[in-house]
Amino acid sequence: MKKILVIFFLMMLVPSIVSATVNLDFRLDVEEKGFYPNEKVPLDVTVVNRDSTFTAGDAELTVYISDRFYTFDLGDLKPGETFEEKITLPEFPPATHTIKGEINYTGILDERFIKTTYGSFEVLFPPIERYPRNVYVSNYDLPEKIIGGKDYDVGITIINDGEVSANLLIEFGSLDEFFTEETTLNSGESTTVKMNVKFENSGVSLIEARVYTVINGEKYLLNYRGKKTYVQGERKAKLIFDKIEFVDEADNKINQEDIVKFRIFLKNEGETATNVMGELLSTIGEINILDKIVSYLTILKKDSVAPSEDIFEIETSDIEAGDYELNLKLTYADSEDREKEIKIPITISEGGDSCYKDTDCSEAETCKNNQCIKVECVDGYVKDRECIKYECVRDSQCSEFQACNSQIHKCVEKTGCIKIVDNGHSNDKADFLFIGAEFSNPEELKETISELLDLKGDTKYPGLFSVEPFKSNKDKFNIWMIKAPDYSVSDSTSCSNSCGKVVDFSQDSIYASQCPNADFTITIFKEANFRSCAGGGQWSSLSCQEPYSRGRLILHETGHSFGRLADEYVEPSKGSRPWGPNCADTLTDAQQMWGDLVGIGKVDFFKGCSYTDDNYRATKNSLMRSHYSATTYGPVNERAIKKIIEKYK
Amino acid sequence: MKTKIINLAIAFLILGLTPLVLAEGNQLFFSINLDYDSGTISQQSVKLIESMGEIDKKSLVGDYKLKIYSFNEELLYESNFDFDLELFNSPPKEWFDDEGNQIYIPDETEAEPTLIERTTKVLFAPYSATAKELRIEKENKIELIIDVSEFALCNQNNICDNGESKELCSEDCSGANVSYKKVSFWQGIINWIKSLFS
Repeated sequence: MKKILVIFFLMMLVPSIVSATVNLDFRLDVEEKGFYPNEKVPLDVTVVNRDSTFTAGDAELTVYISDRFYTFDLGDLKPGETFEEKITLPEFPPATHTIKGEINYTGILDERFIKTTYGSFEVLFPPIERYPRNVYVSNYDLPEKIIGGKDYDVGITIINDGEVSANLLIEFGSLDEFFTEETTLNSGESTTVKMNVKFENSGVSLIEARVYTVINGEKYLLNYRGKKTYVQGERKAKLIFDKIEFVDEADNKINQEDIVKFRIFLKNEGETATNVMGELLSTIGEINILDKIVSYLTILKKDSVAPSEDIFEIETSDIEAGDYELNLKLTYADSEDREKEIKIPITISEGGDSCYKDTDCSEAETCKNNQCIKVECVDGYVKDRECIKYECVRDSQCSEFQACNSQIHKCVEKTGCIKIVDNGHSNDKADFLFIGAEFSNPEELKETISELLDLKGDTKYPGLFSVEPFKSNKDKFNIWMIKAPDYSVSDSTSCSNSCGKVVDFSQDSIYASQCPNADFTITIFKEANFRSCAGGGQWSSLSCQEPYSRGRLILHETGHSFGRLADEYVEPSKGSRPWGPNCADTLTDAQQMWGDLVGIGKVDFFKGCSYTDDNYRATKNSLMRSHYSATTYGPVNERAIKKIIEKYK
Repeated sequence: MKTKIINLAIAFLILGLTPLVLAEGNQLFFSINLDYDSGTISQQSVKLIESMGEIDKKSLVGDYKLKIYSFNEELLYESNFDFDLELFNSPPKEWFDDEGNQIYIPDETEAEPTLIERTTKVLFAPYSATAKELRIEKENKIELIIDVSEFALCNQNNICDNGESKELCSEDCSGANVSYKKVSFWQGIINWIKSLFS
């Protein structure tokens, strides 16, 4: 029965202790008068611990007035103890201000309690004629977290919505640490005041932009805007060179002809540095850095470290003995990302490494007379202490049609292509390659291509670039050429022989494969007679054309190969092949395809296209029908080609 | 270990992913000639060639895919293409009058081919020192494999083979398999004495 009573007693007592707050009497008193905005506001704080048993531990007072707050440390308030303090609040703009006070303290079981109380005071407009009103801070830009000691550029926007112009003093910062700027702002104006600020005091601060008017040398607070800002104290690491430790270096020396691995120890005489990376650089021609980048990760305060496996390696060659310096470029982070370069002193000793057999030396050295001697190797590379010659180091070591590639030291095919119209980088342009079949003279080929292009519009007959839409987009094309004197056809006797029957297209590959820049190929034959054609490429017999129609032939075939256009004539043996954007097999399709252009440039619906009279074309004549009489593609074809051209820049 | 990882990463970057860019700003390409005959593709030739400038003419259009794989089966490059089998003939002058009216229509006996069965195709793909083979695929089916290992400078087998150098194949020649090790003075003396009796 006694046990039950004890348990019952404890059950009643424990919750009452746990929930018990310390009995505090907390008051905030401000003198009952009207303050002016150039006056500081004295605040009397009184806290009486009326509890006879418990202490309010680590009491902290925070006073909130609008978005301003001020914190004071009261320490422990023992039972019966009274805390009284006069706190001076800064100036406030005219208004009735409510004060909220909070005491945050620790109770008997280490729990935190908050005791709240309220007060108020009034700030009046000063009795000054033409006192500026409605001037306020609308905005300022400062991150919520900043680094102490670091410069920040802040723009503070002030607006004068009042009727009086004002001489303004702008303060930016906390109450203890702030920066000022003066300006004048007329009625209805706004301005953004730029300030370069730097805060040293770390911790959470109330950073404010305060705007005062200055009248007769007295400053009156008009408005302020502030927010809690965390000022992170600046932590500075101080990394300095400590020592070098050689790795697998028998004589622990760097010799005149040597390959040496070593660690560089860095000492940190400042705060912890993280993400430390070191890049070893040499400005000395005789010292080559083989392994140059090392990660140190983190270097703690006062530590001296070097990575255990990440090791620098240098190679000396024909260098005078003596003292030298290498540069170690460091990147690291402390309170911010930083970079610095430190000098690494090294001493070069006379002679080479001591050794007794080849394997005592590096891969690129052999052991002679107890010295590691570098394997001489010109035009090759050293492997297993032997010089292995490259396949080639100069063009003369390759065949007539090859060049020595200096990067892979192998013979590669020479490009036979010549750029004759250069409008920019191949990635952005349509690169046309003219293969000059039966041409052996490059000048003659270039001249012929120039005529077919009519690049400047000064040849007698239309060419590729004197006809729209190519004309106004010629800067989107690069032109290349390659002569193909041995390119021949199987029968060159008649202009009626289809190119599909007489041209061996595989010959194109021989030449096109030399031009990686090319997108489209146009093969022109100087003398062979056949019926020209187009497909993946185009094959044109110039000799089967009159001079006036040669450029137009290229336009016709380019309409196929580049513009993906169909023929607009009739040739029943081919069957009906309505295809592309310019031939429709029904009137309905034709209306859908180019109905919007009817009436423009004589666009309509004409029968006869893509080999039968049943299909429709858009214009009576065009370069895709009879390139002998037509000089334009017509609006429908132009639109289709333009759409393709638009892919290029 | 970290050095090796960095070396591998650098090798991967230099040799694997990026095409070999030449000092002059030109770029090395595989130039591939393909033959097409009634749906069957065969290899005519493969060679290396330099472009003028660094170029990227990769295409997303076409039923066929050209893919480059490295020795460790990594896909290094992919581009689409097609074979053009349709031929368009230009019409003779005599078929038209001066206003573009077609005054002559050939009869059925004058048949010209419109679809060809045989053609060729030239493809270019950026050279990679670790490229082992090129694959031509259509609808995810391999149509042709072209061995380009003869052009490789790094076969990614972790052994520094003949023809491989630290300069161009740090992946295999990074030093991991190099036996060289510096010895102390006294160890050298001991080794020398041992060698006298061995």
